[in-house]
Amino acid sequence: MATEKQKHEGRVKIGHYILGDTLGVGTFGKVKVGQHELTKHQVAVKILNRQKIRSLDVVGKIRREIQNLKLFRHPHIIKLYQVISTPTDIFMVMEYVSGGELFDYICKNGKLDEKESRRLFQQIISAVDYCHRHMVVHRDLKPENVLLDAHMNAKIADFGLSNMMSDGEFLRTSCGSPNYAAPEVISGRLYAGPEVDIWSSGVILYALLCGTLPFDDDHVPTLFKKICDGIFFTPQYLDPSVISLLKHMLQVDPMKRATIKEIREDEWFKQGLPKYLFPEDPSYSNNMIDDEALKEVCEKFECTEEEVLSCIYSRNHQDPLAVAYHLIIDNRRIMSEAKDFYLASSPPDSFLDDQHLTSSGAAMAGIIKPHPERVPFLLAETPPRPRHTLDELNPQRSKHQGVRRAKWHLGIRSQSRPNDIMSEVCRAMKQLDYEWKVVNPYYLRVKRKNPITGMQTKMSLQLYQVDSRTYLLDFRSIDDDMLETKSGTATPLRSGSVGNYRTTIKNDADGADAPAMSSTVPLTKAAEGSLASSLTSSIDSTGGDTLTVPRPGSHTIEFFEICRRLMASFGWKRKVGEKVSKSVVQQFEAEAEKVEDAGPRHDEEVDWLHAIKRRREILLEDCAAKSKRLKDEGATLAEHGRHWEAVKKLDEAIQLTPDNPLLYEMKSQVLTILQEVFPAVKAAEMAVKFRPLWWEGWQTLGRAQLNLGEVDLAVRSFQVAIHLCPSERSLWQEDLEWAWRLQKQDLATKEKTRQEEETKERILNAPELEQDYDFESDEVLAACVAVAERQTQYEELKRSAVVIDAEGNVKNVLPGEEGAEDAAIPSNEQFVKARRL
Amino acid sequence: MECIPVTIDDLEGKNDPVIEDPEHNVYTRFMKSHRCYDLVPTSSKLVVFDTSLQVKKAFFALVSNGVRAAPLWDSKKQCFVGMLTITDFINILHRYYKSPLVQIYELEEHKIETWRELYLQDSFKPLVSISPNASLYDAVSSLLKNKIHRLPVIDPLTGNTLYILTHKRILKFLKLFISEMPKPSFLRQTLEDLNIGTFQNIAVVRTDTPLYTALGIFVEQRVSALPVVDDKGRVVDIYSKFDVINLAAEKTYNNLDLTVTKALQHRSQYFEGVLTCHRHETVEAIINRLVEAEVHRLVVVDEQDVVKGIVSLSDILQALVLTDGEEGTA
Repeated sequence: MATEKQKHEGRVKIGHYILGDTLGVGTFGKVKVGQHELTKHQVAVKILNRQKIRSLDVVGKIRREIQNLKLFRHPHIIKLYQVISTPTDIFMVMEYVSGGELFDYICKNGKLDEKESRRLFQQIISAVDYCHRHMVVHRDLKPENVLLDAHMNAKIADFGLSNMMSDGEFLRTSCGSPNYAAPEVISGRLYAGPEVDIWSSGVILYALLCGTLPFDDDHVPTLFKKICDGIFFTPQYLDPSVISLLKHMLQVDPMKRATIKEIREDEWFKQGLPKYLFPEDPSYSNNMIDDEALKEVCEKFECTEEEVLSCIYSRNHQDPLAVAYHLIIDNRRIMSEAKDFYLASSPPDSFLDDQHLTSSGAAMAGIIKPHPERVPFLLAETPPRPRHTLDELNPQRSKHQGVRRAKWHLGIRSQSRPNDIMSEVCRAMKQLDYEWKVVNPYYLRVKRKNPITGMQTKMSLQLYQVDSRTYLLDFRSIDDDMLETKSGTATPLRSGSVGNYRTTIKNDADGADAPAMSSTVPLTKAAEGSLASSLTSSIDSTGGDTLTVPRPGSHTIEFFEICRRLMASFGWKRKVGEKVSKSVVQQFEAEAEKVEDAGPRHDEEVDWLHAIKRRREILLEDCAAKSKRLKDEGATLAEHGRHWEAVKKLDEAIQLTPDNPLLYEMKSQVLTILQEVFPAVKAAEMAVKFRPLWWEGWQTLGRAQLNLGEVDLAVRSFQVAIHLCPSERSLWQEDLEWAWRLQKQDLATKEKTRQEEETKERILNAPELEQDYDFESDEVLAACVAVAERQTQYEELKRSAVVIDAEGNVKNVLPGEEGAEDAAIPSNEQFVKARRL
Repeated sequence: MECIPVTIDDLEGKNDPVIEDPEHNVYTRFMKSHRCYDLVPTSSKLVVFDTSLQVKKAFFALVSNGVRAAPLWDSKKQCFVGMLTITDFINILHRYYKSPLVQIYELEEHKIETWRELYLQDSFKPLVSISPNASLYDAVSSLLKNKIHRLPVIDPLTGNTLYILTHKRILKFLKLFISEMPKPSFLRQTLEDLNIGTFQNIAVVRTDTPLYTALGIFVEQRVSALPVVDDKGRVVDIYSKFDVINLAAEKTYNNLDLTVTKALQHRSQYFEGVLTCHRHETVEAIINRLVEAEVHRLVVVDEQDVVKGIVSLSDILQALVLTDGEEGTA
């Protein structure tokens, strides 16, 4: 046991899986084997670096595609169990098969016999067909992507992944082996449809039958030529019927190439075809809507039923929503038709292994009986007796039956940018006097000493990506005595994770020297709770006689307390406004860099000492003096146009003297120059907050607001400034007037948008067409003319822009005509007045 | 560190000499050879209240989380200081109730800590808890000796409360393995023979007894349930402490003048009737009935259903574990 623990030490864990050896390096990144920390269930974890993936976090569509991959259920496709996003990487937790790559198998064993080749080929075609029916093209099929399970069944990996990359990219990165690529792919045509998979399947079939590749040459241009000519050698031993199939599949012209349908009708292919591979065609034309499937799609994609229905009705089969809908229906069908096979290849239920663990533990310990809850017959014997719980008394439950209660998790959801979230976290922790270490930019280890009990409470913070915009900051308790790799946690995406409890159990009387028994009980249901905290926990018992004095306090409650303080601190920030965020970001980024430089991530030693020392240094200096020096430096830098450096200096100064309004006001101006409109407004707001009767502060705020587009607010700010200092002419002449003009323009723009909308509305729902007319040509023609006219009007409106001339008159102009107006708009430089700094 | 809870730790008597008679003390030995840890469920819900929480909210939280008791955490002392149970709710209602027209200010406004200060009045006792490593025998002793029904299991290593142990859970656990153990002869003896249960001064209420009076009996006599009897003393229903929490669930605690019968109406749908037994039934039968029905006590009646006594889980555990069925010591 001890050695096993050491083995796990310092290893990276994804979800519940401890990452192990690298299985291979694929097109998209490394694939590592992962083992469930408790059940030992093995998975393959593909690690995708975000940079390699085309804007994965920007486009919701691609996210939905991945979501769909999770729905793919086919006996010959590697299942995708879970996708875990962090801002730097995406981890795809997938089915692990033990047989390795088909490629290696062929290399090692040479060609397969015809029957065996056909069996594998049938499985591959079945998988390809399944994907094509669900609108996914593989595009990168090759024997390396065909894996084998323990029973020599084919399993296709990486389906759908290549769609995340642009075409050029994926060829470039596919290890420079275009042997399997269809002619139209290598000739650089951008479109790659289902035909390319047929070609690749043909190449694989050839490889199965012959043990070599149909097109091969060390010299890439020659190879390309061979592919584009489509001429390949057919050994004597090949059956003539299979040769014709190969030739049909390896047709250079994609239009002449075999389709799945044709392959399925091929005589050679049909021999010994298992029924489950091609179940009855689901009819997409079926007009009956499956309510259950519909609901499931809505739940999974967080969309409305209308959205899904409109996709289905419009026959928009490529839309991820429609695909998801059909997949769900399909899955159900496969479940019933190929149940045994499907179940056999499903991941084991983690709780099944628990049973095994406990019983073996019981055998070792002799007397110790299985836990009541873990005795299967007991579960069956005693159904829950409702009258002895408080559940039925719960008014909420009885009233809203069937309504799912909100999922409860300990963590913070945010739609801010990941860096902003992390810097805000650091700011809050600094304020709370927590100590922390940056393990990587999105993973921190935090500790706090409880002033009353003197105990250390440690936790880790990890930022996860939930969807394209939302991030979840997960809090996880770290038990000092536990290896972190073993810490029990709920599923990362919805967890409040409570670390492990450890209890020591002495060996029983009869076996004082018996080997230490260790049983681990997984308990991973995310707790539901309301007001107070509900705990679920893992219990780990290790042998030994380490009886200790009871620990004061409670590890779990203290963990909750530090979480609560931290969360409360975020709340405070929202109300009062940002204080020193930027400087903390920089400090944080610097630290993050430092860590990255240090190299390996898993150094368990936390550099607390350094953090303490640094804070002392700052305290020792005379804050005010240093702040002033920084301010002057910042001013000089700003004058020389080195704005970012100026902001940095000002931030440092603000950190030292956080209530000096002048610093905020200066920062706001510099930020305005930098077009950092939002931070500029925030800085100016702080300035005004600390010195409300200072007209320059209000002026700066107004200008910042104006840049942000908050014209109304800006007008108000300028009015306050004028009220404070009526004699300042620039306020009247420049700021307020300009703001008023913008306000007017704003109104005009709104009016125009309204007009546009109205016109558009009238095009779409032409009143003429609504009338009850019979299709007499004149009327229809008249209606069409009317619609066309409106179309023109609409186009016109869309082309023009609202501009206010020097006299303040509003007019619509077409772009290109507005050159004259440019002069009327003061440049931004002018807006930021030169200041005697 | 004054607030470290008193915990019973370590297995005692693990080296008991092997006794020739396999029947002798069989349940006591069973209890001594199992730890509280063995009873902690794989997964269960535990609700902890901070003592600065308002009592009213705390009782609502008990209801909405479906738990009967919660350990109390004092964040100033950073330790567990006690338990909040339905008994507290009853005490508050009984102490502060005036009339249906007056809102119970104390229930609305008090925090748990305020209530504890008033109620305990400097007689603060440390929280009685038990270590997961302690034997079940210790747990049973503690439950009986301290006359408590909820015993938190606190892990000495982490200070975390793992579970709240009850009589019910212990007896259920025993019942699981009872068939594998030699059956002591006293199981076949009757309640009467062994003198198990309470047969004097049985607190009962009538169908028209006001709720407030019933609460008063709970508070003064420290019983956990009151058989509801008709004019002839026959049992027709039972009102237990657990039924009181329904007042919180339905927010009807402002009127305690209504009758017990009225207060019991809420459970009419799923109430299967009062579980009774006779003095001449065997202990084995009683245990089976208690465990199967998952109730805390049976009302002992005569042939006419007239209440004669009460036999509770405490009585059974006392007899099985502490006195091993020996007569008269219960």
